[in-house]
Amino acid sequence: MLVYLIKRILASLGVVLSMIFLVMLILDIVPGDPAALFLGESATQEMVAEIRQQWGLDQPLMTRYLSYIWRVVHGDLGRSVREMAPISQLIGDALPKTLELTAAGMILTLFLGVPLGLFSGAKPGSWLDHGSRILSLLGLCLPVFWIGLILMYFFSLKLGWFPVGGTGTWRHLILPAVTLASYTVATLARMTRSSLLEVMGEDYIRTARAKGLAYSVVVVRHAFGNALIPIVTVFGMQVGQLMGGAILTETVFSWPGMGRLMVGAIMDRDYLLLQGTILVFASAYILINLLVDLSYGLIDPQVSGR
Amino acid sequence: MRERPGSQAARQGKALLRSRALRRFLRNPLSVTGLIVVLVLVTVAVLAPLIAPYDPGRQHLLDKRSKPFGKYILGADQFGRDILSRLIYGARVSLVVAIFSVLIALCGGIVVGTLCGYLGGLVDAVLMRFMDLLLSFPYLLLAIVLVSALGSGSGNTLVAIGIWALPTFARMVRAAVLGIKKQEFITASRAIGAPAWRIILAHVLPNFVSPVVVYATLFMANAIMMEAALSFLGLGVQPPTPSWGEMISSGRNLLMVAPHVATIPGLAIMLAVLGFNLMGDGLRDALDPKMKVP
Repeated sequence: MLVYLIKRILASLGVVLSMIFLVMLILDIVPGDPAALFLGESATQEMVAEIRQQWGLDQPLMTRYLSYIWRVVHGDLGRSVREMAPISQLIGDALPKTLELTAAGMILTLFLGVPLGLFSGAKPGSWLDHGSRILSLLGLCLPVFWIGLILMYFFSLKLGWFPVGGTGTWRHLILPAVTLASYTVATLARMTRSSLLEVMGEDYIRTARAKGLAYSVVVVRHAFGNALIPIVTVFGMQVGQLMGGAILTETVFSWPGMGRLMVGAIMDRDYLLLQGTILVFASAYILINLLVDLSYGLIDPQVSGR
Repeated sequence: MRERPGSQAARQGKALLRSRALRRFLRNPLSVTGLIVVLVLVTVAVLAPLIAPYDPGRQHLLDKRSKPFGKYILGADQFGRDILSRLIYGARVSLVVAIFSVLIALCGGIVVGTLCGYLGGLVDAVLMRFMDLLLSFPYLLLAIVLVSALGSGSGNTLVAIGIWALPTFARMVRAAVLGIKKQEFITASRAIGAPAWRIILAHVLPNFVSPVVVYATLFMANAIMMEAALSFLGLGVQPPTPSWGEMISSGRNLLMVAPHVATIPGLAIMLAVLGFNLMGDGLRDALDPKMKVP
């Protein structure tokens, strides 16, 4: 198990390093000088040269990559030219906000998505099943940011129950979290339903029923545990969805997180800030996937033996 | 003309299967609904100049933010532009971006997937590692990186969405090729000396057409959603080109006074996404005989 753990951690590290390289490569091969684009048309040659030097663009890609990694390891992500602040500080302020939002989204996904799928899979064809399937279909087909605006319109502007934007109290968190979770709840509910339906067709379920166990006991004790592996896999994949959704949700609710930092960096053409936000986003995603992979060992005893 | 024995029977069998698949598709009300929605969408996009009541860019400054069901069926936005006309032209943008990005992903995915699956070895290892790397970006992030490097605008948006989708297609094609490669008719054609490209074109490609078609249809929905998201963030299609995502984004500031400006385009996105999803699901159920149709 320890060897497996170390192997997985090294592999994840490799993926993060390659992702950073790929991002630098993409930003590099595209025509146009980021420094000149950042400064605009009025910039003088010297100004462009200074920014180029500050961003390390005067060095070859490989050198720049290695020195970037070296500095990142030492906790230095460079300075944001637009915000006039160290990038590590900007990310340090924004990351907890995004984590708060994503965590709330994950909790909602688990505690709404799984029960919805469970109820609908346990009694296929019932009104509960139809209701939950229509809800999930809506969640899949409506854009996250649109759902956010609708919720904002009714619950903030019309009813005044929640603030329109910003952070602070739990009231600020409710609407963004529901918005963010809308898509993932729908996906997880659908996955739970189909996974459960598949398991309910197995022989051991019929046996359990035949020996007189109540239907609910069979569903919860026998079927659900076995349906859990695909559910966890899908949940792990949904984490990436949640992070992408966070970028959109933060834009809707003016939530001062990583997504807004990143979109702002693109708009302002703040090269190092963009690179830094991508680095943090990607690493967080890889880390969560690693945790999901390791959690298989807890759910399925067959995996931990590998 | 060299007529291979059995090829006529094979063709008849295929035609039979196709017609049976068609019948199965048409018997399912949900897939027919999806098909109708998609057809309506395509018609609207093609005939946009004929059916749009106004020029989508024309500003009627006296009718700013006018409510729906008045002079303008769906109202007007903050510049007095007719929302219905913008929706109709927006369908064009959405569909063009979705179709071309899916085409890029499809062609690239088929080339990469077939090469990897058929050749195996080092080519497979290197290319698939690269595809895995692309897949390990969280949702939206790779497309954002690509768009921020390429620049915004509908052309760059569709390239970015195409590249974002490519690895999934490549993986699927590769898996299909690996499954086919081991079968006896491939060994047989290799034994009679057919060159690799011929085997790929004649025997391997036709065998993964149906999963790829199903996935491409389902992916149209994803591409439409992705375009809307990028345009909403201001990174995709740029104003004044009417795009559904951009319409929602610009209507955001008037949510209190004129909620219809931001909400109506969302319904258009939902309809398009729903249509392609239903059609794709229906195609999958109809083409894959192993799947039981409820």
